[in-house]
Amino acid sequence: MQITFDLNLNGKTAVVTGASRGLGRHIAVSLANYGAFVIVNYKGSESMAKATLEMILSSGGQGMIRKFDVASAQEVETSISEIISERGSVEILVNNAGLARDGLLGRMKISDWNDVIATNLTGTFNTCRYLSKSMIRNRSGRIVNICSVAGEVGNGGQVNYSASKAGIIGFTKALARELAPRNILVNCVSPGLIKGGMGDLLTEKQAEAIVQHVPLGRLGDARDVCAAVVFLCSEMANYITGQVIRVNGGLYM
Amino acid sequence: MDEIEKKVVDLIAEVLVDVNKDNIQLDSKIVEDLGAESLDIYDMIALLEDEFGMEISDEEVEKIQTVQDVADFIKAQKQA
Repeated sequence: MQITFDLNLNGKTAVVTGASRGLGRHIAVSLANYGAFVIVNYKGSESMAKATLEMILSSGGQGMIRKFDVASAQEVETSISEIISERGSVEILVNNAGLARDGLLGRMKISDWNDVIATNLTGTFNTCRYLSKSMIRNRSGRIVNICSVAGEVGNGGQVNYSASKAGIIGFTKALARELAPRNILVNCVSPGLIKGGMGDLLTEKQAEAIVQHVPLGRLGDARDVCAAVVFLCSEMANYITGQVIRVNGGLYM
Repeated sequence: MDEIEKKVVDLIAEVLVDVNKDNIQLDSKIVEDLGAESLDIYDMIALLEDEFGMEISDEEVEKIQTVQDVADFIKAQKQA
C-alpha cells in the first residue's frame, strides 16, 4: 500500500485577490508554480501586478493580471464574468485583498471603519458571490479566505481590521455549509506575524515585543502561508471544509 | 412535448444528475418528486436564465412547482 498525494493544480484557474504585493503575490506565484493559471488581481498598482505576473512567467507558470476593486460589486461582477468567459471556469479563489486603517476607537474615522469592512469583508462576499455560480455549475471548487490572528485575538487600534477578519471566519463557516452539497470547500488561513505580509507594518521594536509571545520565537515567512493555501487547494484537503488553518508559530492556539 | 418543454427537461436533467431523465415528466414536482435541493434550484435558475436569456425573480421561483410550471413561465416570458 502506498499513500502519497499530488499537489498538481494543472488545468485549474485560480483567482487571487490583492496579488500585486505581499502575501497575495507569494500565494499567486506559489499556486502558479503548482500548475494553476493564476489571475493576479490588483486594485491600484498595475506595475506591481505586472511584477507578480513576471515572477509567475519567469518561473514557468501561467497567468494574467486583472484590475478590479473587490469592494465594488459592479467591478467584481464584470471582471468575474469576463474571466469565466475567457477561462471557461474558475476552480480556486483566494480572498487575500485586504487593507488596514488603524486608529484608536475614539479617533478612528468612520471612513476608515467603512473602507476596511468594505474591502476585507464585503470584498470577500463579492468575489464569492459572483464566483459561486461557476463553481456550483462545476460541482467543485476551493475557496481560501485569508483572515488573521488579529481577527481571532483582537488587536488594539485595529477594531475595524479585527472585526473584518473575524467576520471572514464566520462567513467562511456559513459558506462552507452552504456550498458543501456541490463539493465546494471553503476554508480560512489565519496568518500570525509574517515577514512579507502585515508583519511588515510593525516597527522593529513592535515586532521584537510580539515575537516574545510566539512560541517558535520568530516571525513567519510568506512561504509558510503559501504552504497552507496550496494544501487547502490540493487533493490533500478533500475532506476539509469550514476550518481555520492557523499559520502563526503558536502565537494563538 | 414542445421544443421549450423538451429543453426544460434537458436542463433539469443536467442539474439533477442523480435523477433518471425518464422520471422527469411535465407534471413532476421539482422538489417533492425529483428531490431538488436549494443549490439545485439555484443552479437550475442560473441555467434557465442563461439558456432563455431572461431574469427569474425569487417571487416567480416561489410559484414554480412542476416542470410544466417552468415551461409555462418561459413561454409567458417569451410572449411578453
